[in-house]
Amino acid sequence: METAQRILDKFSTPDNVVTHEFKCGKRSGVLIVQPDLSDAATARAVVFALENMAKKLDTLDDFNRYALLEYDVTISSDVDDCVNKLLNGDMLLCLEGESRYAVINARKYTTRGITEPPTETVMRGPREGFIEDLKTNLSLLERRLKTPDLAIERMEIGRKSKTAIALCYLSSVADEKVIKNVKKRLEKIDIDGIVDSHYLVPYIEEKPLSLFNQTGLSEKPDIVTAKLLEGRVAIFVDGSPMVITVPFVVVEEFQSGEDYYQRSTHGTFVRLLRYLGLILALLLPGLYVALQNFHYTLIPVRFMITLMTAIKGLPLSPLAETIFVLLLFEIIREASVRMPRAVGMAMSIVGALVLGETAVSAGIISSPAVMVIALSSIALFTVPSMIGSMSVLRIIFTLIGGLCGLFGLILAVLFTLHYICSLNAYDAPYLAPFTPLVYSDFKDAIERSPFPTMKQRPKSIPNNNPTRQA
Amino acid sequence: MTTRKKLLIYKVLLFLFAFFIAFMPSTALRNKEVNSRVIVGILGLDGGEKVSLTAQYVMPTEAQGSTGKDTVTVEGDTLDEAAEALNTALGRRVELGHCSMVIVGKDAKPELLGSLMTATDVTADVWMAAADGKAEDLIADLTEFMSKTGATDADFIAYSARKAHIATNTLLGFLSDLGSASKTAYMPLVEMQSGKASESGDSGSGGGSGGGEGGDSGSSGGESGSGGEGEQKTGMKVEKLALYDESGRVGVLDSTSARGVAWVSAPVEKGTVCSDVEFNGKTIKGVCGRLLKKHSSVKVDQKMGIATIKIKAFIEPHGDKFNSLFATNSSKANEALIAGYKKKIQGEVESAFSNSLASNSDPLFIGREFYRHCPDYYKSQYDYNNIKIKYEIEISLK
Amino acid sequence: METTQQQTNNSALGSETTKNAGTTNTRETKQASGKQLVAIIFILAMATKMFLLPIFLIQSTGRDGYIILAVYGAFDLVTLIPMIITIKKCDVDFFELLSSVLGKVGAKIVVAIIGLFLFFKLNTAVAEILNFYGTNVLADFDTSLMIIVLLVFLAAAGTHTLRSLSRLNEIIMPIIVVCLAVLVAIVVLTGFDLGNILPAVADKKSFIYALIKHPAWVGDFTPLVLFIGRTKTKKFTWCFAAGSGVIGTGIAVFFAIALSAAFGNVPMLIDSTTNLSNILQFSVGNVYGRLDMFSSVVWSVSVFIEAALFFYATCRCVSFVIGKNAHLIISLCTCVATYVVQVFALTDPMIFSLAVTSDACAVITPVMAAGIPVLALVCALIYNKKQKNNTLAAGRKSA
Repeated sequence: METAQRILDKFSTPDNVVTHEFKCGKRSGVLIVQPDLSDAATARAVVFALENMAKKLDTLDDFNRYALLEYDVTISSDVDDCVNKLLNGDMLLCLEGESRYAVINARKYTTRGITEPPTETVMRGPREGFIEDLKTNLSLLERRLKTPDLAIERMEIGRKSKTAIALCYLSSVADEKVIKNVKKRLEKIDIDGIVDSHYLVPYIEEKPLSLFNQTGLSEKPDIVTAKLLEGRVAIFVDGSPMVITVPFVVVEEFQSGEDYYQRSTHGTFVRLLRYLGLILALLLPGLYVALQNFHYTLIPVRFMITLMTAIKGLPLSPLAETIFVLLLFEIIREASVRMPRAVGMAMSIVGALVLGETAVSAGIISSPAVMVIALSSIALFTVPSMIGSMSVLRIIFTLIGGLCGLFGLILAVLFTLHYICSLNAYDAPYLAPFTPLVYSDFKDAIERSPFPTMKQRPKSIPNNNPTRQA
Repeated sequence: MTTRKKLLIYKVLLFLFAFFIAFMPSTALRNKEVNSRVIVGILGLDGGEKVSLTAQYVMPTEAQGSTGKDTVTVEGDTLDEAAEALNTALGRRVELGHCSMVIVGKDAKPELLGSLMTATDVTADVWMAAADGKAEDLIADLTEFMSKTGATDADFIAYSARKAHIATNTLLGFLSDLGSASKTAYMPLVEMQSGKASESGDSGSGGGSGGGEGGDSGSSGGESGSGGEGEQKTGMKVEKLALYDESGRVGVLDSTSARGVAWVSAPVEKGTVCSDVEFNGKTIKGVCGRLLKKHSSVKVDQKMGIATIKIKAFIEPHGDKFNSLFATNSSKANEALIAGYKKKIQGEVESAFSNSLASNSDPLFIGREFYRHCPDYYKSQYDYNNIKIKYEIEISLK
Repeated sequence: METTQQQTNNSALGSETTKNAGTTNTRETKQASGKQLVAIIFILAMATKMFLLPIFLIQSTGRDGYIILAVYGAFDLVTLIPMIITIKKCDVDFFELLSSVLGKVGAKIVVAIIGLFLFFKLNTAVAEILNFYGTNVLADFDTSLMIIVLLVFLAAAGTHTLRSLSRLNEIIMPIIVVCLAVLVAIVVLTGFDLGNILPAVADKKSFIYALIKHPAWVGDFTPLVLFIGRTKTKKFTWCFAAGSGVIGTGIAVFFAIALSAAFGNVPMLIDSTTNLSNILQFSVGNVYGRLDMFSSVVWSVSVFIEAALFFYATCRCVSFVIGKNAHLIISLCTCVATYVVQVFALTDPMIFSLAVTSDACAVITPVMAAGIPVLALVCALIYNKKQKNNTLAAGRKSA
C-alpha cells in the first residue's frame, strides 16, 4: 500500500517495524507498529476491532469516530511527524487510498520503579525520585502542583534522538524574560542526540566553561516543586531522571530537601555546618602547606614539634606530600564510585586502611597530612553537588598555598570570589543574597527560618509574584 | 576580539603561569620546610668584649610529642654576627619567632636589644628577664631545671606578670621605657635557688607558681628536703628588679622596692598583699589579701614640682588572721586593715623611689609624666633628685 | 538591591565595536548598589592609610604620626563630599560627563592625567603590599615572583566589570570588619600606654616636614569617579556613604594612635614588620600572636581590593583615552607596566620612599586628590544645567 510504503521507506531497515494488514468491510488497511515501544495487546485489539467492525466505514474519520473510540487518536498527514510518533511508540493506521494516517497512542515501554534517588537521600521527607520516563516524571510533578498555572511546554531536541523535553514553570510566578531566554537557548540547539539532561546544561548556562554549576539539578519532585514555586523554570528530559532548574544561585548548593523537613534550628545548624565544611574542604590543605612552608610563627610550638616529628625523614616536600595524598584520596573516591559493589567493601578497606596506614608507616607520607586531607575530603561531602568543582579548586589552592604561602592563597581565594561575583545567569546574581545583599533572602540562605516567616519569594530570583503567603 | 581568540589567550597565559609557578624556588628547594628549622625558646644576651648569644633550643625526640631541650652559646663582634653564628652552630636556621623570653646578662648593653628586635625575628612582646651574672649560666640552670619539672617556655615569667604582682616587661616595653623621658627601664631579675639534693621533697613547679600564699610573691619552688648529697637547682626566684639606663644596668632593687615599682608602673593587677595591722593596741602580723584590681597614676604639678602617686587598690582579705580580726569589730577592723595596707603600699613605693635615687634611675616614670604634661617645665627645671612625692592611696576591701 | 532586569553586559567577552570606540566605550550598563558604594568607601578610607603609612609617619615624626594621619584622613573626607554629591546628582558616567562638558579631546586629556595619577596610586598600593608581605609574611620571597601572583588578580579585576568588583568588596566586607574587630579587641584587651602619644607636636619642625612630605597617601577616594552614573542611590545613601568614610578614617586613626603610643619613644625601631595591632607582635606562645597576625593578613585583603580598584580605574581611563573596549589587552598591558615599575624602579624601599616623599609628589597628589572630585562636581552641575535647558527648550518647542 502506497501510504504505508511511504512510512516504511523512511526506515533504513523496515523490518524494525511490524505491519498488520486488516480488512474492514470494503476497506483494507495496514497497522504499522513499533513492537519494542508499543503495546502488542493494543495492536491486536485494534486489528480485532477493525476486522469485526459491523458498521460500514469509509473514511479515516469514520474509523476514528466509530472504530477507535476507546483509543487516543490523532489524524496527521505529515509523514515525518507520523514516523516520529511511530518511533515514540504510537501505532499508525493507514487506509488504502487515504493519504492521511491515524496515530494511535499505544506507548508502552518498561521503566524502572519510582525509588529514592541515590544522590539525594533523606532521613525524613518524601522518598520519591524521578525516573527516566518523562510521562511518569511529569505526573509526579503534576500531582504536587494541581494548578492550571502550571505550564508545560514540550519540544523535541536532537536530530536523531528526537528527545522529548518538557519546560515547566508556573506562569503567574516565573519571570517571562527567563522563560523566553530558556526557550530561545533550547530552540537554538542543533545536535544529533540528547542522551541525558546534562547534555543541555552547556547550552543553557551563560558560561559553560566555568568550574561552577550555573544550573540546578535535582532528582526529587518535592525539590523541583519547591523551586518552581520560587519562580524557577524546570527542564525535564525524557530518558534522564535529573531535572534542570534555572535560574540558579549558589545558596542552592547548600540547601537540601531535608532542611525543610525538620525543625528550623536544626536546619540552620546543618546549613552552617555545610558552609563551614566547604571552607574547611577548600582551604585546609592549602593552609596546612602554607603554614609549614612559610609561616612557622602561626603554628603553636607544641604542634610544630609534633609536626617536625611526623615529617622527619620524609622523602617528599610538604607540598608534594599533600598533593600526593590529595590525589590518592581522589583516586580512592573515583575507584569507589566505579567499582562493582561486590568488591566495593574489600577495596574500601584496601584503599582507606592499607594505603593510608601503610604509607604512613613506610614513611612516605605523614599522619598529619593524612589527617588534614581526610578531614578536608569528609568536609567536602557535606556539599555533594559541589564535589567535582571543589575537588579541582582544592588542588589549585593547595598548589598556590604551597608555592606562595598565605599571600598566594588569599589572592587565589579573592580571584575565585571575584570570578564568582561576575557570574550572573538569567538576571540572578550567582552569589545572591550575599552579594548583592538581599536581607530578606537570608531567611533561607544561611539560616532556615520557620515557614510562617517566609512570606515573600526570594528576590534573588526574578519572579512576577513576590508574595508567597499572606 | 572573538571568544575563541580570548580563550586562546587565556590558555596561553594559564600555561605560562603554571610553567612559572612550577619553577618557583620553593618547589625546588626544601630549605623552607618547618623541619629545616630549630625552635629557640629562650635567648640569652651577654655583653663584654664580644656579643654572646645563648639559645635554649627545643628538639623533638623519638617519642611522639616529647621534646628535648639543650643550649648553645655563640659569640660575635656584633649581634648580627652572633645571630648568624647561631645558625652555623646549630647546623640549621634558628626559628626565633617562637622565642618567648630574652635573658639579659649583667654586662649586656641595652642597645643590643634594639638590634635584637629589628634585625632578628624575635618579636617585640618577648618577656625580658635579667640574670644576676651571665645569661649563659642562668639559661643552663633553667634548662636543667625545666627538664626536671617539665616547665616550658616562659611560663614562670608570664605567671609572675599576671598573678604575682611582679613588675615584668616585654622587649618593646623595655626599649620604650628606656627611650622615654625617664630614660629608665626595668626587668625582673631571675635567680635560681639552690639546695641539697632531696630524696622526697618536691621542688615545686618551675612553670606554674610565682605567687604563693603569704610572704613575698614571686618565688617559686620550695625548700629542698634534707638528706641527699650535692647541690642542685630547686627553683626559680623572681623577686628583684634590675634597673637600666642607656649605659647599661645601674642597679638592682630588692623585693620590697620591686613591689613598689609594680604598684606604680606595672600593669599587673593580681597578686598577694600582706601587711601588719595595728588593732586594739596589738600588732597582728601578716594579714594577707588578694589584690583584685588596681588603678595607679602619677599626677604632676609643675608649679610646686610635686608628683602625686595615686593608687587605688581593690583587695580581698582572707586567712585566719583576717577572720579573727573581722569577727571582733568589723568596721574598726576594716579601718585598721585599710590603714595597714596603705602603710605597706606606701612603704614599698617609697622604698622604690629612694633606692632608685641612689642609682639615679626613675623606675616610677615620674620624669616621663612631667615630660608628657609639662614638657617646657621638664626641659627647663625638672630635677629628679629634687622632686617631692605625695601619695594618695585608696584601699577598697571586698 | 541591583536591578535584575538588565541587559547582559558583553564588554568583557564581546568584541569591540566601532560604535562604542572613542565615545562612551567604557559604559557598562550594570550598576553598583548604594550598599556596595558604602562598603567601597569604607575600604578606601581605611585600607592604605592603615597599612604602612603610620609606620612611615612615625619614622619621620615620632609620636605625632597619628595627627598627620588624621589630617590626611580629614582632607580625604573633605574631598569625599563633592564626590558623593556628584554620584548622587549625576545620571551619566564620568567619561560621558567629561566629554559633554569639555569636549572629546579635552576629556581625553583630562582622563589621561587622571589615569596617570591612578596608576601612581596603584603602584603605591602595590609597593606597600610587596613591602609588607616581603618582610613580614613571606620573608625571603623574591618580589619579582610575588608580584606576578598579585598581578593575576589585578588583571582579572581589570577585565571584569565594576559590578564584580563591587560585589567582591561587598562579600569581603564582613570578614574585614570581623578582622578589624578582632584587632581592636586585641589592642584594647592587651592595653597600651596611651600617654605615650604626649606631648603632642613637641618637635614642630619634623611634624611639618612629615606633614608636607607624605601626601602620596591622600586621594584614596579618586576611583569613586567610576561610580558616577553607575550607582543606584537611595534617599539616605549619601548619609551612609559619608558615615562609612568617617568610620573608616576613624579606625585608621585609632590604630595609628595605638602604634604611635607603642613606638612613640622608639620610632627608630619601627619597620614594616610592625603595623596594625601587630604593634606588640605577640610572641607566639601567646594565643593573641596567632590571632593578631592572621587577622592582619586577612585584613590586608582590603588593601588588595583597593589596589584592584585603582587598577580597574586606570584600565578604564586608558580604555577611554585610546577609544577601544579591549579590556583584556589593556589589563595585560597595565599589568606589564606595573611589573616594570615595581621590579625595576621601586624594588628598593629607599627608591620607593624617595619617590613618594618627593616634592613633586607632595604638590601633585593633593592637587589631584582635591581637583578630581571638584572637577567631577563642576562638570555634573554644568551638565545638569545643560540638560535642564534642553528640556525646557524642548518643552517650549512642543508647546
